[in-house]
Amino acid sequence: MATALTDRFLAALERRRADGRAVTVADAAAACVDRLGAWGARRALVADDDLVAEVGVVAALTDAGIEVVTWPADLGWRDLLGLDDAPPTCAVTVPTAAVAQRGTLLITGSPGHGRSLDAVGWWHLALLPSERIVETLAEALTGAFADAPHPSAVSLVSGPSRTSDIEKITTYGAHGALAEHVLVIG
Amino acid sequence: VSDRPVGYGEGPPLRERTRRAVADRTLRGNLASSAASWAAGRRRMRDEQDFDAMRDRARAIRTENIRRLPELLEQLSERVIANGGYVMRAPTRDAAATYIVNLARAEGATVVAKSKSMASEEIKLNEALEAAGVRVVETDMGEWILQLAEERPSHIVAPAVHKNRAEIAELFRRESGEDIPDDREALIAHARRRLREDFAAAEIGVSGVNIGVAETGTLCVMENEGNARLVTALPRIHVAIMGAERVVADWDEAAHILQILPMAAIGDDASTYVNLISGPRREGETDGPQELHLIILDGGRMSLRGTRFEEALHCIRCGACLYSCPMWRTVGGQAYDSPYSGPIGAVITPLLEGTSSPRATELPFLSSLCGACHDACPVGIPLHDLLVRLRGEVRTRPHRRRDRVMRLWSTAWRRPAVYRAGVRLTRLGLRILGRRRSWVTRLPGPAGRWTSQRDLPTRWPPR
Repeated sequence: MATALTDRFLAALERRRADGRAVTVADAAAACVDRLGAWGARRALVADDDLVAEVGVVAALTDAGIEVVTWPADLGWRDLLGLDDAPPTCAVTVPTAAVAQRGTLLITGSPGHGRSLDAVGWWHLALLPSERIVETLAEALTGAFADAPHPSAVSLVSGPSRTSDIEKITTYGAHGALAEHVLVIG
Repeated sequence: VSDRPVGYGEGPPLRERTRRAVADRTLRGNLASSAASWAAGRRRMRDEQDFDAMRDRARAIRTENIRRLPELLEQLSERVIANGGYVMRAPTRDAAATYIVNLARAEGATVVAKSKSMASEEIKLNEALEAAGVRVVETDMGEWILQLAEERPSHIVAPAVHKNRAEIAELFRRESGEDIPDDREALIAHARRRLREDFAAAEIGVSGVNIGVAETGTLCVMENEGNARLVTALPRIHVAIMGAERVVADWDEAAHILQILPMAAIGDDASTYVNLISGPRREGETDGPQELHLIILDGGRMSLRGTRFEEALHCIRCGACLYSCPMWRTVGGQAYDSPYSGPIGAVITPLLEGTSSPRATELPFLSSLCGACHDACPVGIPLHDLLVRLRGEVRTRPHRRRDRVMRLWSTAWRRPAVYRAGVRLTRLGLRILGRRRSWVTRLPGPAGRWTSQRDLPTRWPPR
């Protein structure tokens, strides 16, 4: 059930021009399919993570006619970056923590979860277990770097990619994801 | 049509540069609208957050960081090496540029993709790489626009604020030969697709570093577009260039700086992306660079410790002082003819280059000393005080002559009778010169030089 922390996180996400909702484990796969369908994604680039298997994302997306590629994808950068008529791709990530105050996701690089995963595709959908939400950025960062060996890369992601370089007006989908959706699970 | 770019410090004298800038109406309009949107964001931040308390803490953090700088740099270097990276301590700009050029040669690199880095401007990296036959691509949207226009950045954070949509569309059409409509979304979509070619092709990625975290040997690269992520994750080699002052002790401090920087810079409470890089890819990882090189650039920074200019090292390069400065809002960044413009640029350019360089004799005077920069600064650097101190360091002949006039004036005004007579005379003189208008725009004789870019009110308060 949604807690106060989850509610604050979801509100902060909207301030960052992303969005999200709280779902149960049973509903997560369907919610994922809905969102990718609404965006028009033809392919999903999915993190190799236990939660993905638990939720049953791969089967649900495949049934819905969306091609699923699991990281590490043996496709080459041109294809992953969407060049040469590659199908429009959505990244599916599993953040290691999230910050309620600022709507920030912490995504930790690992063999099954590339550090560039969320930024190469057109869209970004995150599967976030609700107990991973903390209040402040300082808590999240000290947590992420508490134990040695430290991860080789951690990405803080706060909403879709944007630029204000043309006439100081914010435009989305600069080099990273055009839109971001977070399913808070549990 | 823009002139071919010349190296920093090779432009015409300051008076000519500011004259050209003031005459450029498009530039004035673009500067005014971007400064207004910055100010609105900052007002929002002040309403929503306790910005003043955050600023006090940021100031305390940076003061302590600089006090412990050698020790923190030592710790950062050790940890980066332990994480599998290489560290190069570059004493000079040339040493840093040479290191990167040699690396590109050894790698046989043909394309270098860059995310925005002021330190790379400072060491003139693009020129050095291009001279070695390497194609350099700026991947920040604003920087790429300027690269196509063959111009220099105008602002630390928003480099192309002085260009409007139509000008940008024209540049894109010329580069691609495609017909691109001049609406913002089409322009960004075009740049996104076009630059992805370069992300895929680059052998080396070059980024700056906002802060290094000594505790774990982690480099923080902040951005909103996602290009820095691709630059630091896709090419085989990642070169990170960090000014030697940009280090904090631990993650608690880092979290604070990572939050206050975007608040000050763009009135936003988070950067969209913060890339925290603790080393090259590990065993089993399929992205991230295979080699990470950290270049710690001294370039005159370390010698500022313990001087009365030490506070300049507290700067976290947010760009807030630029927007807040009435001078910068009038002439823009390019008139400074330095990688660093605005109040902080007027302070650190002379400090890093020595007070006898041509720019050093000009820039400390490009300020009204109103103190708005101090007020805007998220780490509370007293920029106006530093500017006054720097003015005292400039000892060329015209400056010595000006000092003599100032001394004479000071002697005269210490006598109340002379002061009162002087004020009455000036007031009368200005009224006569201004005739019926409320401003005098031109003074006779040698004083005419002074009013060529300034006006004086005939009444107080001015109308």
